[in-house]
Amino acid sequence: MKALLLVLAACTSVVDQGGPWEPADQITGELLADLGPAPPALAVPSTLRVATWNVHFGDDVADLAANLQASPILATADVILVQEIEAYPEEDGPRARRLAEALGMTWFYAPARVEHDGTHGIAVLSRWPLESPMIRRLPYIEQPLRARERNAQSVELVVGDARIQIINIHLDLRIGVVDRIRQLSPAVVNVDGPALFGGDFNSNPYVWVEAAIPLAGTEAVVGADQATILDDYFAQQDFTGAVPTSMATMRLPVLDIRIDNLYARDYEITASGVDRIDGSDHWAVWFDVAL
Amino acid sequence: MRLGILAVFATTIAHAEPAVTKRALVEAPSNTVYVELLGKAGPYGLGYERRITERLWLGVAASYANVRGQQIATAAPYVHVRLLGDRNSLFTELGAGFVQTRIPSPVPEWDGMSDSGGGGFASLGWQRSWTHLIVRAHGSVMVGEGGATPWLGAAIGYTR
Repeated sequence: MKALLLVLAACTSVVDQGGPWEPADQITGELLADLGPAPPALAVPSTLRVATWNVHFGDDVADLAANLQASPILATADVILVQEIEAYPEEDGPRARRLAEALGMTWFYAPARVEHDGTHGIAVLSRWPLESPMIRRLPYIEQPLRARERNAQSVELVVGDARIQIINIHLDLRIGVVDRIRQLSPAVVNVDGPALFGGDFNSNPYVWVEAAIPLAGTEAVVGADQATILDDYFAQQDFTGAVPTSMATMRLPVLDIRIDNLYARDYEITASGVDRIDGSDHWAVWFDVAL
Repeated sequence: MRLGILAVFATTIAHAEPAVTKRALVEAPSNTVYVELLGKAGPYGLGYERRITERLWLGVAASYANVRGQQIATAAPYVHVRLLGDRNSLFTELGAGFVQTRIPSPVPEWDGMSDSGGGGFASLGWQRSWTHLIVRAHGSVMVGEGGATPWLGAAIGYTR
């Protein structure tokens, strides 16, 4: 009871507006980014396959790679946006690097925070060279339980003569949609022109009272799913989403919720779906865009 | 699924024994006002009930809340039926729920959204009564445009 009262008395607030986009090579210290070398040259395709997958810490890199290679859809992905991947000094390199190498891709790992003696963050894996890697610290939302530092990463994919901007993001879990858009907006507003955007938006259906109590009863009546609201936000920025809110992306026994997605601006989406891949508590979202 | 829940609920009411004693009927309050935490009106509710028959009350609970910038107005008319007991009693409620929510934009590049919806609920709960005071706890199933979900609530009220 005392713990409940403490939770209810605690205050959720935005205490830090985050930072600007910073070139990855200018970030030093514990949150040092890791970038791979340019991959072997490929023939320029007519479509590009992009996927996003929260790998739930990715501690078994070999299993992740095996699951990706076993998927007819994901084994042929040109780019994979990864969330919840970590790096520890006692391991043989950052997990993003090891996963990329197992898949024959290059990588850009962007740590968001220190986790134990390592780091926790997001990554872009690519069969195409990556240029202009940037990282943006997102607004920090203080919460009674498990507040986290979050970030976004931006990179230009070099496909022949084309430069394709891709942004990867991972947002907080137990926040309402107003705070979610506050946290998301800095990664979207300064992106001009054609772009691909994806990640784990954690767009659960609920209004959260102080990041502790989901108003499930209210959501059951009104059905104002955060994923629907995020789709509206992206539509107003001229982005088109990959999959509808009815397509679940999380492996839950009862709830069908779409918390991951991909969005494209000024690229035609020619195919899309959710791949129910093993190896994580999330499934992967993918789309093909015409080049 | 929703019809099934309502059918079970209706059957429960129809077959409930008239277990309220004669003494309790005489003393049963005509009017109740209460405050509810969670429950049928969202994050909280202010409610009023009026006794209609020996075992049945009509009520309404409502709330307005601004939860981290999201504005939520809720109204829930319902029937309250005492199934068993007197000072310690088992009750059930069946009602409708209406929610209007408005999400003002926190950023300049988005217009914000508003939405409204309707649904229903069925509850089963326990009530403890004193002379002018009641305390309740109940579990519910809420159904509507967002599907069906279990839900909890607790209330304290004044009766007369």
